Amino acid sequence: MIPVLIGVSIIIFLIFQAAPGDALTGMMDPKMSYETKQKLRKQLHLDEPGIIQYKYWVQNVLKGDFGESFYFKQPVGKVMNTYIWNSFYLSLASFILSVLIAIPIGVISATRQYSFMDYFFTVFALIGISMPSFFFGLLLIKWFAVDIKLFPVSGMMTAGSTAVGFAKFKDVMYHMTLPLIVLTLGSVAGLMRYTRSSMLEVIRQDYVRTARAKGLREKVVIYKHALRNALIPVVTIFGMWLPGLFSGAMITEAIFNWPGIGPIELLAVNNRDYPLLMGINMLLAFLTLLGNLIADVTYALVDPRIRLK
Amino acid sequence: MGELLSIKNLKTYFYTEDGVIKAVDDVSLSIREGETLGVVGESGCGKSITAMSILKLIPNPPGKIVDGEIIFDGKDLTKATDEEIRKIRGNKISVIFQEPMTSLNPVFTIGDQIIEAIVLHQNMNKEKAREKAIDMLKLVGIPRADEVVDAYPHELSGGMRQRAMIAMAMACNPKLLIADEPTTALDVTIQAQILDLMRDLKNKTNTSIMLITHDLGVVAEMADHVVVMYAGKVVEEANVYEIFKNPMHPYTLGLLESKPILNQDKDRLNSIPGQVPNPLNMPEGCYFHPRCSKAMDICRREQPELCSVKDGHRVACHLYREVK
Repeated sequence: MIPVLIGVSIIIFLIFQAAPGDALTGMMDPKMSYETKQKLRKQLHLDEPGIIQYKYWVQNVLKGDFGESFYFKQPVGKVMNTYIWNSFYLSLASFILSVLIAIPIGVISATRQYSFMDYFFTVFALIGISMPSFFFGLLLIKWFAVDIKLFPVSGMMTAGSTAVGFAKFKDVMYHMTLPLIVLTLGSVAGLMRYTRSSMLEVIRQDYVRTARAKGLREKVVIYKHALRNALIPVVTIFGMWLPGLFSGAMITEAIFNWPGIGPIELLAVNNRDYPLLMGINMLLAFLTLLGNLIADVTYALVDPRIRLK
Repeated sequence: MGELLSIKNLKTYFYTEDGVIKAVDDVSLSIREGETLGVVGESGCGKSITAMSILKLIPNPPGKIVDGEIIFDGKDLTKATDEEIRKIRGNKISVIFQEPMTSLNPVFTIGDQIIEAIVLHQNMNKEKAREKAIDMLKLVGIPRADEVVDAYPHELSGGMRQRAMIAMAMACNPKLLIADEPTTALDVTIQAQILDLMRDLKNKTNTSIMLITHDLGVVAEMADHVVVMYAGKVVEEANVYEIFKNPMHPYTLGLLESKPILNQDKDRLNSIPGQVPNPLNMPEGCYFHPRCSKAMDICRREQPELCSVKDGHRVACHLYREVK
């Protein structure tokens, strides 16, 4: 994991080295004189070869210092910290909701293959996968926020709200509903199909027949004996979701004006805010690796066959 | 000895896109208490489906019991509700399957899987059931039973897993044990051990066994009574001595001739010419006539019925109609 992380950091650094401009072009006053520029360059070690610059960058990153964002004129760490949690709350809620909805639906779809329910959910999944989130998001805003005024159009809290504790939670949940629906629809669809195919494979296994031959109730057969096995491959994708929880949903967050990290990334790209982009990329790379590790660990937890002695 | 289970005119069909497959077509047989019934036939002749029909373990759809009765303990199982059948499964009738490698759930320990059956059918708490599970494992000859009870299936060999399956099946003292090719997936020395074990248990508990196999050696060793099936039908039925000494149906004869005999120098084993008929396209008349060396005109037109030829010896073949 550590070598991979080092490799990733080198690649990220190289890409941003290759990109036009450097820290100065982003920060400086265009009217600055050439001499001052050179002086600043020297001060910031920008005149030194890339490998030395990389050394400085890594040293700082290890101390938790990702540099200063050009655009926000704030330390990158602070910018990320401000927005990333908003994304996290939204994604986590969507993740939990997706799992709670998708797995039972997948099981029902598999156990009643080719029934009306199965076709219904299949169509639903197809809609979920193919519906662009910007369109679905706008549709929801039109229906629920503009027409019947059930939910707010955008934002995370009522403007000027000073609510704390449970009242604040309620306010956030109220604002979260619509983006949550958009995000969940997309992930439920995929996860449900995944559960379904995994389950279909498992319910044909001999041990499911054995469980039935023991006289167990159909519910126990399906939800204990079959589901435990069907979830093994599904659990692996849970780990892959970890970076997704923090990276935010760019489009959905932008549409609902949710103050998450997604729109910030977009802003950083448009404004060539290299330190911020490098910071975000580094964090996501780290989370991806961590996600893989978690997937491996949970895999061993749910499947005794790969547990180490 | 009274009759424990009797199947009368059972018909189990599979409704597939290509047509109806008559997997079990008018099969009647019975098992007496304490008796071992051998059901013999080629792959796909309907012997497993007959057995699975007893416990309604046929996947539905596409399979369905279309007609017939399965009387067990004075009750017709074909008419039993799901709830009633569940109380019989694993309790009064239990099953051992062919593949010990895949018949145990890989994510639960051996103990969990045995305890589950005990708790379900006997009023026992978990601790007592665990003790019973260990006892059962000891009974089926598993060494270190108190450790194996916490082992996962993948930690055991095929023979050990089959022993564990038998322990699970016998845990609730069933009246009938359906053994669906219990030794086919095991190597020969383990086969002999497992068969010995089953015979031992049978003698101890007076459980009847329905032994499904295509291995005539196993039948000779284990069975009291034999039913030979071909293409979803019973073609011959007799006690085990009679079948081996005085086989009548040309198919049974063919099966016995294709068996290797020790100390006999032969380059090739005999085989029955031809192939098992396509279940979607059964021949007219007797299903066996295209492969039968003694086929007569009537065999191509009329399906022979199962008739009693001798005391307890029944055969479905036109050759023996006159004898009666």
